[in-house]
Amino acid sequence: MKQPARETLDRYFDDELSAEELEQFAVWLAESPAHAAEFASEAQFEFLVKEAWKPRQACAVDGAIIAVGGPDGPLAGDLASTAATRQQALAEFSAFRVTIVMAVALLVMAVAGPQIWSSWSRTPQATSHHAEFVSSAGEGFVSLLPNAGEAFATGPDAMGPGQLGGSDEVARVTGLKGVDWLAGHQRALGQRLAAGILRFQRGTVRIVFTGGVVASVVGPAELHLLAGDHARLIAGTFAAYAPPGAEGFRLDTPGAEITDLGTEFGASVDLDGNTDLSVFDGSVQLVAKGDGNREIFTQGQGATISAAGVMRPQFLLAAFEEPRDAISGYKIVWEPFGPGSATGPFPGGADAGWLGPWQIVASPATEQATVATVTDSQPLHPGTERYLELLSAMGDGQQMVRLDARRPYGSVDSFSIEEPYTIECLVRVQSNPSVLSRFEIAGFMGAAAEENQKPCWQIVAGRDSAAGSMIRWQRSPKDSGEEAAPGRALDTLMVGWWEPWRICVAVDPPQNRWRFMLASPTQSWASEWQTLSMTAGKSIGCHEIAFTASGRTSHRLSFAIDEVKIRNRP
Amino acid sequence: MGQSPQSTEVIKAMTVHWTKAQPTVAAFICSLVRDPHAADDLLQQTAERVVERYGQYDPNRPFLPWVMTIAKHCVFDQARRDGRKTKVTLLGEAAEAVVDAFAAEPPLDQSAVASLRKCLERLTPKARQAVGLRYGNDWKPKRIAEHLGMTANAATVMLHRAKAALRTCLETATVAGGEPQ
Repeated sequence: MKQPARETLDRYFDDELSAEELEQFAVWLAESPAHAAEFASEAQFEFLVKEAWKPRQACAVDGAIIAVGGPDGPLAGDLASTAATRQQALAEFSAFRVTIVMAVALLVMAVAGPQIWSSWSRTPQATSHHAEFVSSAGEGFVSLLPNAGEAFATGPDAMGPGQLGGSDEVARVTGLKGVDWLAGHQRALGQRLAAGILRFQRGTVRIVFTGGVVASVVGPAELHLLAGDHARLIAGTFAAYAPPGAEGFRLDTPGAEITDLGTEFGASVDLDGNTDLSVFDGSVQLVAKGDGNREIFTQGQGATISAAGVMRPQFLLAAFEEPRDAISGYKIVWEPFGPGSATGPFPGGADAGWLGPWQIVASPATEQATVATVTDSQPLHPGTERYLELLSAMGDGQQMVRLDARRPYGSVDSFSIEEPYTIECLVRVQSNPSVLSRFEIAGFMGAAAEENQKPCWQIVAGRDSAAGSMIRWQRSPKDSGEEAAPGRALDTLMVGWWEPWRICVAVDPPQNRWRFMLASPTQSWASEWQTLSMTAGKSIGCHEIAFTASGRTSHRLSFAIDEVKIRNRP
Repeated sequence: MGQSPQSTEVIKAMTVHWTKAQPTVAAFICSLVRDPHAADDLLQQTAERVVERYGQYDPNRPFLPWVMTIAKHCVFDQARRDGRKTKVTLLGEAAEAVVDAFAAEPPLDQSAVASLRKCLERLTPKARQAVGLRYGNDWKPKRIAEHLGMTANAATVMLHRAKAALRTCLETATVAGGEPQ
């Protein structure tokens, strides 16, 4: 019999072969040991993928809680500082769990007799202790009376990020979008919040906890702020991002305790008290209050937890788009520049989607032409040690000097330009902005060098008469100005000398749209979705990002780029 | 030849044998039995029979073929007992050939699961979604396609490509000692 295509094997394991096809398949299997070996190999692969997809069991072994991992265990005190170690330990523990249980059971069985086998549990879920859910009142979940437990402090509005962390402060409002507060619950942008309740009917509120976690809540919502690293979600949709160092943040819901192990995750609580959890990046530990199950959930995984605290792991697809957008500008990006990376494919190699090294051009080109170097003199961001510094030749004050850095990227296994993706980076204009005419970041679909192609998206900082001798980011009049850091003018967006800007561009090729977020330590701004300027009918094999500075100056032009990251957003 | 299961040394040997063989036995049962709960029951029954009959095992022979025979009988007995209730997809010669093939394979290395988890992280979000729905939720391609808003064929192709990428990633990880390259 002819060997079946891989497709037939796939269809067998998808349980999609008809009775007739199955019969033929059985004949093929019996025909040759090689056929059966191919089947066995495929079956083992299928089994491994299923195993790999199962949430890792953190601490529960047949209902008994091992003290290794939980917040009440010996690791609780140093959760934040040892999250990575802990995850490793938990993963190793999980890998051995089945072996240990089996070995112990076998030892007991061999002595005590086969009848005990029937009482040996099959899975932790099947046999774990389903404790009756304690009344939410005992947990403080019923404080729905207006103003109950509120103790919000009203702090000065003009606060920079460095001033977080007063003695009573647990969080600060850093963004408001279309918020309808319930009477008596109004909060202002920049307001410092002590432990208490945040309640609103609609809109999005972004807060930064003193522990470092950035979170956003979409209404109707009720969030109890308990500490700088602890909150309780009674209702609403919540997304959080824990940058390095802020691991250990805990979110309680009626049925679950969610501990952030360094991640971006979303959780929502409906009117019945049921919780949906989705992990977008990194991992979280979830404890179901009812059955006591503790599991580690990683990127792409999720669970539903009933109000009674019974967990059901599943693959959730809730996008949490709105709250995630609200925190996207705060996310620290990865893959910073490293030593010797100016000429190599860095940051990020071909496996991350980058198709080649940076192409850096300055005009006019002189003997002192472009200098591109990786330096660590003044880091753009704490935690990043080096960045790419670009320096043009000196101009004569008459001719236009231009400095250009661009890099192509395309689809690989881990990244696709056909799906929505983001570009995140840090940029700093190092020239005195008064000598600049224009600074722009642009995206091209297809190589930009070809055919003087127009950009598909473009963020421009240009000279503005109102800004005097400075340049500032240009914005569409229709864009909202509500996304701003606390206490600062909402529409300045001035490009300052040496001021680092975090740029986040979201490109959505399937829907032919894009948007961006700009954030400096003192200002921020998110654009509305805009249409991509696509070249009709053009075959697009790669995209390209380009940074360009230009000015009529007798000085050098210089800017720096750090932590450029492209990735698909789930 | 035969061994008494009451001996501590024998118990230890039996534990080691079973621990190594269990993933392969589980993969075998899952390849023939669709219902995960039924497959779980059958794995339990196999373990029970291993304990009961370990005295008949000849330690001079490989353990895996011996335990695979037990697993096969457990599956066939179950299929006979409850008729169509437990759906066993392959019987007769085909199933015998599969048993022999599993017995000849090296024991499944459970550490590959950790490598595969890393490989899963390398898939595009949409491909990872599809794989998650297929293996996490046990959905068929048609339902996955409806959920992801694509044609059934597109979902099948996406799953096929994702699995191919995972296979390649796992192979390189195996060569590199567990770390995907």
